[in-house]
Amino acid sequence: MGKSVAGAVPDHYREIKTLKNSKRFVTEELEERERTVLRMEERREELERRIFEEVRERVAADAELLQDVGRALAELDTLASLGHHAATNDWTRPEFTDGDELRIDAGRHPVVEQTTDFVPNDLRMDRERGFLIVTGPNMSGKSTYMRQCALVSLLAQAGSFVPADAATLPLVDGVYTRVGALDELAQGRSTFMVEMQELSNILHSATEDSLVVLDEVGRGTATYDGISIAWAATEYLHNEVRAKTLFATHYHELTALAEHLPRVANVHVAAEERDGDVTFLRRVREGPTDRSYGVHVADLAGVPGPVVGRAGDVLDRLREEKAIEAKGAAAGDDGDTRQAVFDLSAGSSSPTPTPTRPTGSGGRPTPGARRRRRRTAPVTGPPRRRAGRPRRRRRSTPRPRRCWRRSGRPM
Amino acid sequence: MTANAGGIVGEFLSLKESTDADVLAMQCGDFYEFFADDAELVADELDLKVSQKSSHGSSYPMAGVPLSELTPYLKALVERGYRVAVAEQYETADGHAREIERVVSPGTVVDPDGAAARWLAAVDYDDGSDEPWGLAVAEVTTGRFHAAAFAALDDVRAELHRFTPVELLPGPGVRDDDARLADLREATDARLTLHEAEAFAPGRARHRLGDQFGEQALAAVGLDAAPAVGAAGAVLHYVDDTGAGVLASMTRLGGLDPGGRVALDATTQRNLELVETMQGDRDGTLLDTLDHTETAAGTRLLREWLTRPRRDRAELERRGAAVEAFASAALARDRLLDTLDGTADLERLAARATSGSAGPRDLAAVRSALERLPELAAAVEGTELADSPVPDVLARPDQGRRGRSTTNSPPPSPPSRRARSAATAASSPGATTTNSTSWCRSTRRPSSGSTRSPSARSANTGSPTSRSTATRRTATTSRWASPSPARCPTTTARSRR
Repeated sequence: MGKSVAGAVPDHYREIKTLKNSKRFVTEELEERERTVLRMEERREELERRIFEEVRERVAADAELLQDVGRALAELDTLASLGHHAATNDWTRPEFTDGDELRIDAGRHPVVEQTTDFVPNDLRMDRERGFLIVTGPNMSGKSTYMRQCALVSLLAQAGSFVPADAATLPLVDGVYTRVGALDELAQGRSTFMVEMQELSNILHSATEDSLVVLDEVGRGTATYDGISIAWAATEYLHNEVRAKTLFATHYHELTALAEHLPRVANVHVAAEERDGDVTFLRRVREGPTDRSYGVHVADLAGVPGPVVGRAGDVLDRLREEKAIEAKGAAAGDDGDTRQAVFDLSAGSSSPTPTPTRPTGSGGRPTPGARRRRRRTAPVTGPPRRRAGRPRRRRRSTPRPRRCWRRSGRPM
Repeated sequence: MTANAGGIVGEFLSLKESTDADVLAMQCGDFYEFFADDAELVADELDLKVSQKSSHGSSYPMAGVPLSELTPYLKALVERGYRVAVAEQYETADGHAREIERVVSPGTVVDPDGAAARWLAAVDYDDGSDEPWGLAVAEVTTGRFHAAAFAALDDVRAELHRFTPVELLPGPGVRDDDARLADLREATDARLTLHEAEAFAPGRARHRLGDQFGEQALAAVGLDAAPAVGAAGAVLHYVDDTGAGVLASMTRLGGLDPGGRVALDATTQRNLELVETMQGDRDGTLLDTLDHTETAAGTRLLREWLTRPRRDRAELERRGAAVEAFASAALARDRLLDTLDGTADLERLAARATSGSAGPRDLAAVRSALERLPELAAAVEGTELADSPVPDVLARPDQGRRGRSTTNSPPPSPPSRRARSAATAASSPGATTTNSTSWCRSTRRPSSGSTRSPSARSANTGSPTSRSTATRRTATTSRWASPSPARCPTTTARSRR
């Protein structure tokens, strides 16, 4: 009340606060009321809490049912989502077969097709054709093709539709993919060690019901080591594991395996050369690729004419004179260890315009390769070097080559 | 430092010493305070201001957050991989005391916001067994629990890549061997927590698993190898120990694809960019491309399907038929997806209700999710979807009540199991204190004082009243999912409870 009348308050008014123009008083009765209000408030809170807890207990008592309902809703959501994607992207329901046949008509890569005008490709594999060697120029779409095949199989076995016009698939017991020379140096293990550990895992774990996709496995080391390992792994997968396998490689030498191993077939990703330009058609066709575009790209990149010309010669000679025999051909395992042997003496018959330099590039044969080559004529330094250079361009360790390619590509 | 620091800092330091957590948050009135090293750490990680607290002649760094704001800070700390102990203050006859009520760790935080699953894993090894590797994983926010034995480290790696656990408990057989520990460390980004070795002992673990999931559960999922049993037991023990209070939401023990497993190792999952690109992004992955789901639970399941393909033809045909129905019934599909849009995450809310951390808003979300069920059923009924496996999905929760013949775990009758877990909760010494403040914890405002409320959950589990109300309510919730009454005799099934 205002200060002017504050002096007139009854005795039982107790002053509790003085403000600028007024004073506040309290009486016994008011205090009693306040206590009651507070008590009620407390009780209300208590009651509210108790009721809430009861409700929550009732919900908790049915936690299991709620979880079941939640999971059912999740499944509806997932199925509807898959249905939506299938309908809006023209996917098809895969058929499962108990046999060995694997057939994908006009398959696409589920992720890549979203952003590009995708060129679909078929895949056929069966009992007689269980190992495909995929060749073709770099960046031609080998990796995408192989991944899309693995993804179609995986999507089918997740219960989804698949990006293809039609698909008949066996139920695989495992999907294994490996990409050579993944740069994991940062993790402290050598790239090649990782690559080999991963290969080793596949060779141990895959069965004849598995789908194996190998992308340039073996490229993480020197050419001769790499090709030898790729060769031997192919034989082992073909003869022992018998897994359905797609193997992309830039070792064209491996395409010769199709002639020796019954279930191996070659396919290649086509590229077309017109008016000095390489066009990637991204079409997968039967048979090995007919030429390598490495030398051609060197030309396009402006490498001096004599070098390109000489590289072409060396390449032809290498092709003609290489000597490879496959294990596990019609005669079966003979235990012979002749494999992946290159005859590099060819180069020695040509004059050597470049001066001798110490060897040691990626093209240098390893001690093992040299030992195996003993039956051929001794190799002199310069020709080996000569042979090594174009090879380095075409197929040495991937990183330098990639860099060179990228910077040298005309487009 | 502990010796000469008295008062509140001394109390803090001695509590800190009693826990193996990395950080301690101690309630002091209306604030949770961090002192000394913890204050510096929290200040660094969470951008809090540090002040100085004088105590018995020494000065200590101090940082604090208001009571009501602890949760986001806790979450942030835990996401960074720290284990945080929380000490609550309560009134006693002569003043107040403080006690560590719970330890929040990356794998046991009940976090309703993030959509991704947060798996807690345990791995043990024992070469005395045919399948020397044992792995158990649990998701406390949804109550999922799986365990299995493996012959090779690679299989364990593949599973770890699939689940990407946030916290991992290495068993004695792993942590006592440097090479194995290093292998494991490389296979996961999870925080490694050393939990007491006895928790992995197969005998104790077997007992604990029996109590939690029913005596026949282990046999039903074929879990026999000592390291696998040990790992599963350790996960349960750890969840119980950290006081997350969600033990009761873990009702079913699952295996890991017994029989129909398709090998998909970690390298392959990475190469194919299923859920993460080689660069570690989510954009551009298979999951990202395919994901048109409307709910977090749907995304989680889609991820699970993509990383865990199957060989079981019947199941694949079932999914295929359902997808086909959805693909062709565009209208029904859109209606269903629209109805699902924004539906609450029932799996998680159930776990929160069980742990006592669900607030009023959570329960309202449960209600509104359940309210949508009739519309979902209507979206299916009378459309092309009705002739597909879709109605069976809807009916499954009811069928589950009847016998759960389709799940991995054996069918012990739910009431008995619930009673059993209640008994476990009541008999385990930590349980009472853990649960008793749970309601306060989530809803207490700074002004409401710090009276300890009577136990929420321990009262619940034993009380006959709550049982009968539960029955009434369940009968109501069950009605939704039966497109045809004949298929789902829900009411009769429920009346057994």
